[in-house]
Amino acid sequence: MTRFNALLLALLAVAVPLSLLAGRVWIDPFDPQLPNAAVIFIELRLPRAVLALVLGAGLGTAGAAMQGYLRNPLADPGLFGIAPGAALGAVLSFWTGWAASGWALPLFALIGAGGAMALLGLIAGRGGGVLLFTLAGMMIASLAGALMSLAISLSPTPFAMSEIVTWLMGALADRGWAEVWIAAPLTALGLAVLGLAGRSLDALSLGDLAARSLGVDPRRLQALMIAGIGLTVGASVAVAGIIGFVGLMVPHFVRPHTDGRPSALIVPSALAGALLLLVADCLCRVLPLQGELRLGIALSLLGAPFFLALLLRLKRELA
Amino acid sequence: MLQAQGLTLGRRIIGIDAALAPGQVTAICGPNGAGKSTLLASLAALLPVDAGRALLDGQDLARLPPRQRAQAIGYLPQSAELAWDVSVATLAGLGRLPWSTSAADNAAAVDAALAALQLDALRGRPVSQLSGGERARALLARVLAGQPRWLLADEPLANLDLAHQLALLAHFRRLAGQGLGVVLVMHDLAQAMNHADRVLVLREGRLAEDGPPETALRAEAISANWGVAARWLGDVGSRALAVG
Repeated sequence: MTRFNALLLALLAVAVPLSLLAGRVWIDPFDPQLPNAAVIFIELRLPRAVLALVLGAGLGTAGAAMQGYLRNPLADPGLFGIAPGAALGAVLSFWTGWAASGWALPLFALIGAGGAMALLGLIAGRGGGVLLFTLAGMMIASLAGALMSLAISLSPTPFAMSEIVTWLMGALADRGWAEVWIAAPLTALGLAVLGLAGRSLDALSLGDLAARSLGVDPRRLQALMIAGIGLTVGASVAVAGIIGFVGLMVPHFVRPHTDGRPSALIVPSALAGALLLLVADCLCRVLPLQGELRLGIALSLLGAPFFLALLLRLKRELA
Repeated sequence: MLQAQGLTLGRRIIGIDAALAPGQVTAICGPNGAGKSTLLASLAALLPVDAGRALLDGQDLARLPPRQRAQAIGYLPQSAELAWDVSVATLAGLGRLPWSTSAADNAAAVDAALAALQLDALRGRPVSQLSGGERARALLARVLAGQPRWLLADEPLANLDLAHQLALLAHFRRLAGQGLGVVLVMHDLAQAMNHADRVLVLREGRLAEDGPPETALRAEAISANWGVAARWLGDVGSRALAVG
């Protein structure tokens, strides 16, 4: 294990117990008299912390893999259109009213993610070219976005519209063990798939033709990327709505502490993604606002200036 | 033996037949757009050809498992593309990707490749901080670290000054002396004349000349294929091309 991974694990070891104590109601571990402390701890804080770790690990790794695949430090998993596809599925569950029955929302979202993955594979075709793949992803994202807007504008009731808009902002509030059981196995599978793509992503650093000459099968790599990004991002959107910028920011924090190969980013990106989402969610809980700040909004507020700083740095480097 | 049998890809290369021997430096020459890079990539089975096949020791390369093919043939593309700013040693280590060997074996292969190209002192330096000549050697070290039996390089001398060109050509000659098959796409006809054992000349996708450099690059062949009146000066091994 590298020293950086050990540091991230140590930070997680500190952050996880702290996150279980933090919230509107702070739990004092030395005061056993706090009413309902066990319920708050086991039914609210613990599943929320586990979910933050799972989704953060998935989104961080998806971002690292995505930047490796597109050979672009500005790439984000959202580019593949899978997150908007999943969000469209979730919106339709609100629209039809099925979201009220517990499992329908994540199921619809996963179907949306699966549909986007299938469409991506179909359009990108058998060639395995990255450019066509990216354009197909952008088209799907645009189509899913337009259909979501249509669904919102045609909402059957103002309540449904409000539900949709609130849900799309992304949050871990009110999530429990049911969401953990949905997201954890799918994310774990996605992480394993992205781990398999590591060597091919390293070879791709040298360009398409050199990667082929090193034994990379571009179609296999494309299939691994669709499956890996689809599972991690699809699972995240299915249980928490859209949480952006994690996949963009995390690989940047991590890259200087590795040797730069995309495969070397996978494990630390999972750890750093988990840490980022856990800490961000804690801050959302404890900030003294009238209502709880939505996690998706908080990360966008953090991510947009980060993205701008990144652009300015790249501009300086290119000048 | 690396063989092209009727290799055809669109109008870029048409019915190319050639059998290349290991232990030699073979140059592929021709005017712009003649199909040199396409032929090189097709010889490595990296492009889906319309007809024909590339054979390595009698085996169809397109049917070999990709990693097995990659272990046998090292390919250096024309573009010196590198998406991430890795160190020289990490770059060379990418050449080990087709192999499932131990970390110690991989490190030994990388060390040998860096030593062969006098890059030991630069092993920890980021590629972005290298000069053009150092970068070209580092990219070649990546291919050599894969310990291929054949080295196919697309314009490896492009953008290098004369001293670095000669140093790299000396490396290629040394590798051929060790039994590697070396195939180079070259634009500089004098370098091909002086440093290749055999020259393939392409024109409009077809094989126009194939033979030792003195024959394939004779003045009439240059006139016919490049449309330039030229004559060779000097002695064998240090020829210079005078144009006009």
